[in-house]
Amino acid sequence: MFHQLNRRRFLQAAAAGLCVPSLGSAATSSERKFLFVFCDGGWDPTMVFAPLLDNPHIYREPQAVETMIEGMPLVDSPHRPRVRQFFEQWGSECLIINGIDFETVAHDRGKRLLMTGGVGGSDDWGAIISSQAEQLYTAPYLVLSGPTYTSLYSNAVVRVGDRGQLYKLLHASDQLAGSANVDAEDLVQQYLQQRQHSWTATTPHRRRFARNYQDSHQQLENMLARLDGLSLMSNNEQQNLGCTSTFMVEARTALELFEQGLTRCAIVEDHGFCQMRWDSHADIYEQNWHYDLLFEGLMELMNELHQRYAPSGALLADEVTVVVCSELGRHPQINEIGGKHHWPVTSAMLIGGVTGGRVVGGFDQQFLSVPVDLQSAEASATGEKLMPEHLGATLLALADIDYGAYTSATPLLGVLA
Amino acid sequence: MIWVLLACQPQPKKLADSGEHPVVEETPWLTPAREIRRLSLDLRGTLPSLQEYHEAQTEQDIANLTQSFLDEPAFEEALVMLLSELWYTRVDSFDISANDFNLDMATWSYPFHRAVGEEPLRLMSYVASHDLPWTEIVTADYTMANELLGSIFPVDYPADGSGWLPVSYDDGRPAVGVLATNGLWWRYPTDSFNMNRTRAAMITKLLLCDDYLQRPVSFEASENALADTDQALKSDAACLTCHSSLDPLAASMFGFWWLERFNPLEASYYHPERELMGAEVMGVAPAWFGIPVNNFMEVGLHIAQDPRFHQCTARNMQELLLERKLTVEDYAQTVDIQRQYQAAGYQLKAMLSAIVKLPEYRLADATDEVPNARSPKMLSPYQLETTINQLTGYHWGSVSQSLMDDDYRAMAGGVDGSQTFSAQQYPSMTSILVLRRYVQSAVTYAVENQLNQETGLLSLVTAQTTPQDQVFQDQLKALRLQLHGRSADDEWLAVTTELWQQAYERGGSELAWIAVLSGMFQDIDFVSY
Repeated sequence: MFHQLNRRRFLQAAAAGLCVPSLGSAATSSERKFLFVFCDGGWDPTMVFAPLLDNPHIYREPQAVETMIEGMPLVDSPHRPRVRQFFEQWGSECLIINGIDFETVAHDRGKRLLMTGGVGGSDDWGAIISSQAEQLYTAPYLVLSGPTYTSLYSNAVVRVGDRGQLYKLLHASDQLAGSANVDAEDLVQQYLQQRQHSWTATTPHRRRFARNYQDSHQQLENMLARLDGLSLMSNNEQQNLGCTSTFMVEARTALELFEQGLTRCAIVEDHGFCQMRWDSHADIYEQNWHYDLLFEGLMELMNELHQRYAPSGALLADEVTVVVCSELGRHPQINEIGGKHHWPVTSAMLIGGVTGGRVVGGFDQQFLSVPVDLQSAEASATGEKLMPEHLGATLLALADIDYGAYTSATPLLGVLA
Repeated sequence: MIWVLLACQPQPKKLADSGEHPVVEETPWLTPAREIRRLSLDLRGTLPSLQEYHEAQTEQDIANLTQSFLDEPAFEEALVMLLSELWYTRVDSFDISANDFNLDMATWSYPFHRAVGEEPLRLMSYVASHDLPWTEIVTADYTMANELLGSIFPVDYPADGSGWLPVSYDDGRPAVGVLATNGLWWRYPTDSFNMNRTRAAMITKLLLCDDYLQRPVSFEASENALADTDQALKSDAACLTCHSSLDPLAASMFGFWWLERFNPLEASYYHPERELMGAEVMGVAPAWFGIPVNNFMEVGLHIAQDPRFHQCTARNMQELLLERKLTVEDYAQTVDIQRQYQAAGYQLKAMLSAIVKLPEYRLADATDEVPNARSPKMLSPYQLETTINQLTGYHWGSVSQSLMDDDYRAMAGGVDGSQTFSAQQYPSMTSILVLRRYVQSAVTYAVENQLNQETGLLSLVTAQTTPQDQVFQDQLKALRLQLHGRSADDEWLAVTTELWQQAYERGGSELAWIAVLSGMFQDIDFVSY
C-alpha cells in the first residue's frame, strides 16, 4: 500500500542533489490529491453526523429523526433536505469520523490544530502533502480561501486572492502593467536562470532558499505558459456571492487545476448561508441553512468529480480526497438565546480514498470522545482518543507520505481503502 | 558557546576605498556590506546608500551606522511593520468600516484600515524611537493619530496637524498605552458570550508571552461543563486553570464593552460608566493574576512592573529579527539581552542593538555552532516596496493606496494578520510573480526618468554610454553594490554586460538598462538579505 522505501530513496537522492523533481508541462502522476472544505466557525455534529437523539444531556432538535443511509446512522430533518439527498446519492463514498477532540473551545487554536495537529509553528497538512509530491506541481497548494499555516513549505502555497489578484498578476492587467516595457523580458528570465547557479548553498536553510527561488521561477513560467486554459477566478471576482452561493463558486478553480495536473492540494472555506459563518451562538437553527447549502455544494462537487478527468486518465473522483471539516463542535445544550456555544469535540468527513459508507469514532453520554482502535478504526475501550493529529496522519498516509516524519500520531489505518 | 563563537569570529574585512568591494567568501559571516544591508533593511526598511556601504569598513563603523539607523525617522516606520508581524492589527477588515463614518469606500477603505490597525503599532514605535521607556506602551496617557483618526476618534488631534502625532483621547479612558487604543480592540473584538476573554488572553499572549490557548482543555475532567458551563468556569479545576486568572482580567476591561458590536459610536468611545459591569456580569472581581485591581489603569501598572513583560519583550524582538521561535536553549541569551535593555532604562533601541550584535544575526549561513540560524532572510513586502520606491521613484498603486500593501501583501510573503500569521521565509511562485510585475513597471519608470540624469540609479551613464566605456563598468559595479551589497566580480560583469548587449541590440540603450535593472531587482541577491 505504501511506497515509503521508494519515497525515502527519492527524497534522499533529492537532498543530495542527485535528482530534481521534474516540472513537465503538467503532472501526470495519479498520486492522491486533496480538497479541503473548511466550515468556518464550528459546526454542530448532532445535526447530521451524530444521532444522539435519545441522550438526555443533548438538546433534542424538533423534527430531527435518526435515519440509516447507506449503512450510516445519521440525523435527518426536513429543515435540511439536501443532507439526506447527498447521502442517498454519495453516502457509499463517505467516511464520517466522529468524536475528534480538539481540546480547545477557541476558534484560532481549533483551526491551527485542525490544519497542523499542533499549536507550534509547523506546516499544515496541505502544505506538507503538496511539497512531498513525486513531482513539482505548478501550484502545489492552491489556497482559494481558508486558514493556512506554513513555515518550511510556504513556497508550496499559491494564493488566488480574494479579489482575483493571481489572475490579474498573471495576465498583467492594465493597472499592474502600467507603461511597463517588457520587450526584453525573455532575456531577463534567461539572465536570472544563469544567475541562479551562482549561489553557493551549503546549509539546509540556504539550500532551501536557493531551491525555492529556482523552483518558483520554474513554476511561474509553467503557469504563464498555461494561462489560456485557466480561469483562476476567485469568489469575489465572480461577483456571485449571494446568500445561496456555495463553496463551489471557488472550488471549481481547484477542480480545473486538478484536471490539468497543476495542483495537489486546495482549500476552500465554506462561510455558510449568507456568509454568516457557522458560529451559531445566537440561533442554532441557522445551522440548518448552513448544512443544507454545504451539502448542495457537496452534491455539485461530487457530480463534477465524477465527470472530470485527471491527466492520468482516471476520474478525479478516483484521485481526489475531499476533507470536509470544521474547527470546533457545538455545546450539546442550547443556550439562553437559542444558540449553542463552543464544544471541543467534533466530527469530520472524508470522501474518496477511504472506506465509504462508514462511521468511525463516536460520542459518549457526556458528548465526549469515544476511544478508537486505530488499526481497525472500531470503537475500543483500550483504543485512543481521536484528535486532530490522527486525522492529519490519516491524510498523510492517504497521500503515501511517511507520516512519522511529520507527526507522532498513528493514522486511522482501518479506514484506508 | 556564543562567546566562543565571538572569539573565533574572523576579523572584519577591510573594504577597498574605491568602492570596489573585494570578492570574499561570505560563509559563515556576512561581509560588512551584506551586514550593513541587513541592518538597514531591518531597522529602516531600505537599502544603505552607496556612501553607507563605503563607510561600513570595521565593526565600529557598523556599530556607528546601526546607531544612526536607529535614530532615523525611517526606524519608526520600520518598527511599525516589524511589530505588525506580532500584533496582527494591520488587517484588511474590521467590524466597523469607513462607510460607517460616511467615508467613500472606494477612496477611504484602505487608508481607514491601515490607520486604525496602525494606531497601537505607532504608539509602540513612537515610544521606542523617542527613547522613552518601553513600559510606556502600557502606561502612556496618549495615543497616536493621523488626520483620518483625528476626524473619527474622540482625540485632540490639532486642526492644523498632519501625519501621525501623539494625541489624547478625551473620553475618560485610562492611561494604559496600547491597551487603550481603539485599533487594538477593534482588531480583537468581543461579544456577550466571550465577555472580554479574548482581549484578556491577547494581553497575556502579547505582553507576557503567556498564551492561554496553548493550554489544552479537558472536558473529561470537568464535572459541570455539560450541565452548567458558567458554574464549571467558577468551580471545576479543569476550567479554573485558565479562568481563575483570565476572567478577573477580563472583568477589568468593561470600559471597552460595546452594547452593540457593530455600532461605530459604541466602538469609538470608551465607556467609564461600564467599568463596574465586569464584576457583575462575570461574577468575579477585577484582578491581575490574583492581585485585586480597582480599575484597568492598575492593570497597566502591574504589567509594567511584571518581569514577564520585559522577558517577553526580549523574546518577541529576538524572534522577529532572527525569524525563528526561541527555545529553552536561548534562555541565557534572552536574559542577557533583557539585562542590557534594563540597564539602558528599558529602551527598546538598546535591546535591538544587542540583538543585531548576536552572532546568529550576523551569520550569512548556519554553522555547526549556530545550526538554527535563518540566514539568508527574505525581503518582506514592506522592504521591497520602500526599497524599490526609494530607488526608482515609482509608486505602485493610486494616491491613496499601495498595491503591494493592499492587494499583494500575503502573496508577496507578508503577514496580513487574518489569513497569514508568519512571514514567508522562502520565495514562492506568487512572491516571485508579485515582484516581477512590480519591477517591470518600476524599472521602466526609473529608466525613463533617470537615464541621462546626474542623480538616481543610473547617474554614471547616459543613453550614449556603451560597454566599452569605463563608466559603464563603474555603473554596473555601483549597481551591484547598491542593490545587492556585493562586489561585481568578472563573471557577474560578463553576464550582466551580455544581458545589456542583447537588449540593446533589440531595442537600444533604454531597453538595455531596463533589462539590467529588471534582472537585478529580481536577482536572488536582491530578494535575500
